[in-house]
Amino acid sequence: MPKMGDAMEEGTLVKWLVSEGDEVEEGDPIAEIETDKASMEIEAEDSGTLHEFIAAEGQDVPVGEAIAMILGEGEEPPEGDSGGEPEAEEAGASEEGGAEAQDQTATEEEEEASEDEGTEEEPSNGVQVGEGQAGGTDGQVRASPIVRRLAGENNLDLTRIEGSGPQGRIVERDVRAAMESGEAPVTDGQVEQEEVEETEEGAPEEAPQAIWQPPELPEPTRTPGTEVQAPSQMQQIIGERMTQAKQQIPHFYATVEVKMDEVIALRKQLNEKLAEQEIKLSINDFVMKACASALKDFPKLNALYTNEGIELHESVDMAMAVALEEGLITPIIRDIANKGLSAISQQSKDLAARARDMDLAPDEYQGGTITISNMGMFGVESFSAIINPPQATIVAVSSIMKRPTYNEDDELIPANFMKLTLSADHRITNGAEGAHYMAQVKRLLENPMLLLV
Amino acid sequence: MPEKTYREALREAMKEEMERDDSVLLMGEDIGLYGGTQLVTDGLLDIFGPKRVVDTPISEYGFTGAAVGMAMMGLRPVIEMMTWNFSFLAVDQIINHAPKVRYFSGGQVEVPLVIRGPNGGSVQLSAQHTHSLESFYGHFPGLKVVAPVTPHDVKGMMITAIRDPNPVVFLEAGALYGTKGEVPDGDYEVPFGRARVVREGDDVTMISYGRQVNLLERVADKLQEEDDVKAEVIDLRSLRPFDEETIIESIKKTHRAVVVQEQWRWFGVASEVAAIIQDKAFDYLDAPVARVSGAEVPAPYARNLELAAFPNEDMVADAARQALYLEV
Repeated sequence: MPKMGDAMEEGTLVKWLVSEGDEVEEGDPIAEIETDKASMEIEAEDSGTLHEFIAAEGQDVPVGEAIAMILGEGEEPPEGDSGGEPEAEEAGASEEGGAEAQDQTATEEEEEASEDEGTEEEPSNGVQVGEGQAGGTDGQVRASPIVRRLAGENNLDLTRIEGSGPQGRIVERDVRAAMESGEAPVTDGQVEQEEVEETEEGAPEEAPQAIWQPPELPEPTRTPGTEVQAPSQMQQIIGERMTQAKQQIPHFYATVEVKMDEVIALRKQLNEKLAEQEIKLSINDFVMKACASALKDFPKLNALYTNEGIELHESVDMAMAVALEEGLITPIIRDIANKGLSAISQQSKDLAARARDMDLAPDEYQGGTITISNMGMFGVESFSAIINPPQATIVAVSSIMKRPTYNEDDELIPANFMKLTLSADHRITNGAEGAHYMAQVKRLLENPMLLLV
Repeated sequence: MPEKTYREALREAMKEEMERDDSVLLMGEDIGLYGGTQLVTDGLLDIFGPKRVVDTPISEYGFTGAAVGMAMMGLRPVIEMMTWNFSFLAVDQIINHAPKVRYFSGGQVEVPLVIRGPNGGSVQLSAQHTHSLESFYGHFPGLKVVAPVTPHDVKGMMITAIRDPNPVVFLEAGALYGTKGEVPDGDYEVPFGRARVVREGDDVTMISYGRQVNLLERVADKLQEEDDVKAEVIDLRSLRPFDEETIIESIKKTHRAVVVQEQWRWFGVASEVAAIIQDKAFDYLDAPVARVSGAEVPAPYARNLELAAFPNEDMVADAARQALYLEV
């Protein structure tokens, strides 16, 4: 696929104008292609027999990839020719052609071909060779690792830098030149997004820092009795995501106070019955169940904020924050609204235990639709949590506090209260809806039998 | 500092250790009366007598096994393979006994054995006498594997090897016994597991060990002269234990690496080095790690073919240029 313009990264092969097996002359039109700007005909770069189509009609082909193979007179197709894979064998055959190559075994040929990978730009027979491991064209920018690192650190938009390496790979000197000439354009966010994704897949720890930290941080004071520690990788990821959430999501908050005596009584009653099965429900199990059940009437709070709009989720996949020494993690109880209290209890205990042992599979902590953060065990009176993007909602659960209150007859009685604070994304929902939701959660917890039906 | 040959430095290390420690002794084929086919042990029989400089029958398996036994009983034998190619005959002793005894005995029995001899290509020794065995022996836990290139290092590393409580595979640069360099008099150790930065540079890191290090120095000159490229040259010296840190630090500076080995590419030391670099310094790389290796054929006898089968200046310089995205 020839490069027809500076910005062209791929072209669509609209139509073949010849057939496999046809004789073609150099300059003959062989195919019609289309870019986002124009459509045109491709001419054969050499004369010979059109041995094979590599790209199909309608296929998008990155610039530099082979679309077809033309064999010169008397030329044999390369051994191990495997249709759609235009890389190694062709490079070997076209580069190593001649008596020497024929004496080699197949293994040796393959090996030499792979030596060529990523270093050869164009073979001599005019058919463009696909890239090997060096590139990987998926419509993304082709750049070396150090380039991506520099781009992240200096906020460069790689899509605007011309690459001078094989197949247009952006290499270090290109970035240095762009930075020196002052032409290095500041990213408009695309690179950031890319870097974030890489981080989640386990990029080295230094990488994310530069993206979300302000450009200038104060030097350590280095006074006696101080110590500078690098944040753990987990803490860096948390820091990055929370910074992003706090900066980009307009949070609003709503706190309710729930009288928990009914839950406490019901829990005691149930746990006596469940003791035989070795199930012990926690207060948090009731809270999670209530938060999940209440969502039924508030679908916008069980939603993700995506680039195509608000994605409403039928199933409530509840992430529960578990504190670890290295940071925190949020394992997920899937479809929690349709689970009973004992199932929730067992699953939350199992997930929390394995989270502390760092024994969770990625699908056990990725992809929740709402998060619950409980600091009840720490004696916290109330707190507000930061939304866990792209989710709409997080509920902060505080401690149960016993204090005097009035009953219906205005008599002073002791009672147990707990505060729940909602944080919600104002792009998705509004204060009134959040308040109604929290009122429903309160109603369920103050009438916990409703959680059993 | 006095200049000595690689051969003299090696002999000096063994002689001084034998003087210092009565348990050190030498064994091998023709190492006594004849002085060794490479004359490494020349004159030592006269000094230490036939009990400590032992001429053996032509039986690598037998004398290596005897040496393992001696080492288990508290002696410190240094045995010579006339060339490392002959070690194939003793491979069960070297791989299956020497490095296993300490492990099997729960650390109760040590095997302080040094096996030394010329390794790698030389001048027209042909296919059966031309092997570089560092990745072969480097594969096995329990063996230490070193390949010094300078007279300074060969003495210091031989002293370290003799004092090490584990079996050491000591790969000498077969083609370099006559090369000279500065060698301190007296006792000094060159520790295992530490690479040597031969020269510093910012543009590309070239890594090897054994006699290829000298090749890298010539290539570094060539790149400086022809391309104004400043290459950093690293001599691994010790392949097991291995110094990752020096390499990673260098890559963080240069962003490009060329790893050179005389042995074949498949499963070679260079592959391991490349893997370590991508593992530990991925985000610093600007180009794929290049490997330059011997041709995938048994070593040829004919001189012209032999030269073509080993890495040469042009091959290495071109690999460096490709890593730098320069015209080749």
